[in-house]
Amino acid sequence: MTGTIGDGPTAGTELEAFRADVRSWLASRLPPARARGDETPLEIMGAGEGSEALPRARAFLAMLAERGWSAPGWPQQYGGAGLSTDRILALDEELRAFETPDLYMFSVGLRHAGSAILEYGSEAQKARWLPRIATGEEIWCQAFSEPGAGSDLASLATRAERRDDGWVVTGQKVWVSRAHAADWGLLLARTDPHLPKHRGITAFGLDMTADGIDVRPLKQINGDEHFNEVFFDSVWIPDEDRIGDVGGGWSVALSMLAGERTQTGGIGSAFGDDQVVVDRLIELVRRCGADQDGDVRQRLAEIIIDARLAQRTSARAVEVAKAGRKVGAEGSGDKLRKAALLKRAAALALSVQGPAGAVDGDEWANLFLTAPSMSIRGGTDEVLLNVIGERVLGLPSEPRVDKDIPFSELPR
Amino acid sequence: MQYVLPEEQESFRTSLRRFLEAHSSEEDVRHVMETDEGYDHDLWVRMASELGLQGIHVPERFGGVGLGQRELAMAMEELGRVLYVGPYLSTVVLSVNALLASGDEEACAAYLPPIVRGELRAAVAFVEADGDWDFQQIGLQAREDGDGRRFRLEGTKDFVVDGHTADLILVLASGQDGSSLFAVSMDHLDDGAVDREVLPTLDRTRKQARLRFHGAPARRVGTAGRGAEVMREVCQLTAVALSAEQVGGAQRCLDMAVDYARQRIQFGRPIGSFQAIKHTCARMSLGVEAARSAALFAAWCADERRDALSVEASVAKAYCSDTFTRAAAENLQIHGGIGFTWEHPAHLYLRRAKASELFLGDGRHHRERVLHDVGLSRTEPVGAR
Repeated sequence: MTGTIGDGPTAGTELEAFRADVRSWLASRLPPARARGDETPLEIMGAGEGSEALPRARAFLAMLAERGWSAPGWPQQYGGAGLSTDRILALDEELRAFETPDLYMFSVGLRHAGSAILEYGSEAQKARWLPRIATGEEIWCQAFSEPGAGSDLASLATRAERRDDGWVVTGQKVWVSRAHAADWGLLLARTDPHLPKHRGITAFGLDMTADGIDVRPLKQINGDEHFNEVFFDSVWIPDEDRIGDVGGGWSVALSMLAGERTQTGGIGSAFGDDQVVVDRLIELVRRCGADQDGDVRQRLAEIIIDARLAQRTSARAVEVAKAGRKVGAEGSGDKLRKAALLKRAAALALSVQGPAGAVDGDEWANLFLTAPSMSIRGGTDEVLLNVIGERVLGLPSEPRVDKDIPFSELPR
Repeated sequence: MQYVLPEEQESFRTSLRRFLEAHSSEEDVRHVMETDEGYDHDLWVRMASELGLQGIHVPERFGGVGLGQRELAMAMEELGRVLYVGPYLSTVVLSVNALLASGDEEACAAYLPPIVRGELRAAVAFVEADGDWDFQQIGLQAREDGDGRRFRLEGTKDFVVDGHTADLILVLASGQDGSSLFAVSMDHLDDGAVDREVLPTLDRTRKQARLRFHGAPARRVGTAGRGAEVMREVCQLTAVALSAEQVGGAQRCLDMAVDYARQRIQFGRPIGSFQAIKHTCARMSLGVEAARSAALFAAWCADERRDALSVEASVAKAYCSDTFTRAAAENLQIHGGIGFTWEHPAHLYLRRAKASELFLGDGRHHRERVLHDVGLSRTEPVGAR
């Protein structure tokens, strides 16, 4: 997907010229970013919240797509700009100086689904789907998890049976964000239940307007309804919409899940700004007159420090990549750190308000009810710790009892 | 770049690491820590002549390499990894930083070159028995003895790192102009002028002494009345270097724990395959990486953004102290019974971690400093800790 990193001694001036080009092009089209102040809402992006102002976001993407900058790492023929990693990072940095719309609804397409199609899709599929993702014309959702397949995604049971020149899909997906507005879905279904679980899965591009698809909102503990259950009742998918090989769906899934967990910059990044949470927490502690309490002070200071270090560790990983060196342990842990930080910030915020914290039902109460999801979605804390233990530290995995048994024989 | 050092510095790190693996093994550490001097003189001289370690951040005009706090921090990280036993913190971090911060060219010209050559070892006597890292009340007194630059010191300093073997002692004392920094040469001293009592420290790899000054002759270093101010800056710089040392130690603890978890077989498989152990190691890794970011950023500020040094030194000292102590404890735990034996290195790291946590202010102390720096001062007085 991306080009080479750092091109040598002239790279510096070429990169500066690129930055200047980006800056002036954006400056003539976008307002500067607003300074963060008291009115800045305490939203936690990627926690299910996201503006529904789709037309504005679409217009923004269409504008960026003129230069191929909405999906800068994609080849130009598919709507991207074919930029190298350091230019993508530079573009991302320059964009932050401007007021840009919420791109939550488009991030599956621009990132996970887009990269999966790029890596595993046919020429026809790439030509058909990618340009429309880049311009914001089409929204994609990710139809992976099921009630019986969460952390153990490979145990998914939604069935796709071969019929004539296509497939008939029956089953259910859960926690599908964006499904209510999506044009397409990246679907994982079981095409052969007689193979061990990982080998009988196939990926598909699913036309969300097809007959037999029923999208129902899921209500979360914080009252939001940004996720859905999606029921498939004999939904027809033509074979030309199959992505990758029959039985090759697990590789597609891994590539998409890895994209969910890495920090490579790029617009539409799922995670919001911790510094706003910290700044507002400091204000709240003062306002409640709790700023002289020793225990509150220590907890607050820990949160201030953790937020800084989380941001610095991400920045360090980016610097290491820019320097052309291998990113190691510093590249993992963003989501784990953020989840822990938000939970502790919310708990302290309610604690300093005393009983009023449980009455007002305000943004801090909402954060308290939203933060638990950060430890679950996109890879649970436990799974992410396993990944660090195994892939970063090289510790052996736990013995698996279900890896080589046919799916149809597994206890479920 | 704020976190990544140039390639040539990374090559130096590799050379330093190899040198220390050869000359500061666990066996070497255990041997040297039991000696009275607490350091290997021949090795100290080789560190100077072969690697220029004592002169890393000393300006070239005083015979040094002329690099900065970032390179010093890198050296400290490597030394911390192997628990090097020797007067590096006292001489190169505390004393050299004190001399440079004093702005006293004459003192720098007199003392820095022999330090760089490995011929002079120095210590800084600044904190007293009350453990007040803010020097609000300095008990040790300096009285004039003849001309304006000669003084006699009276009083006691505590927790002086390598104070028992230093050739030169820099002392923070109170006088008629306020507090100032003084230099006491241990050469040709009258008996009893400085009484040096080695303290039985928890961390045997880093000796501390209680120094009692009885009319010890001293020369003032730097401007009169600026002693506490200079010392505060020195403490910030030392906290930055010490944080880097703590990162090195914590990384070694993580490496030890992971190695053991991969090899130790119980219940038919490596204990690292059990999630409880795996997750402990993963959390240690998260801590070490955040600590590394803190130490690197603080060192960068020490070189490039002095206005941010105070708060970032405290961020680093608080976080790196807690991380190292926790990593050392988890490493011991993961080793089970064998980790509790004298012969296993786990306790050596635990001792270093705890002692360095408490030196220059622990996490609690520095978190208070961070709050003060972000505008959340304490209106009630905090007791000295």
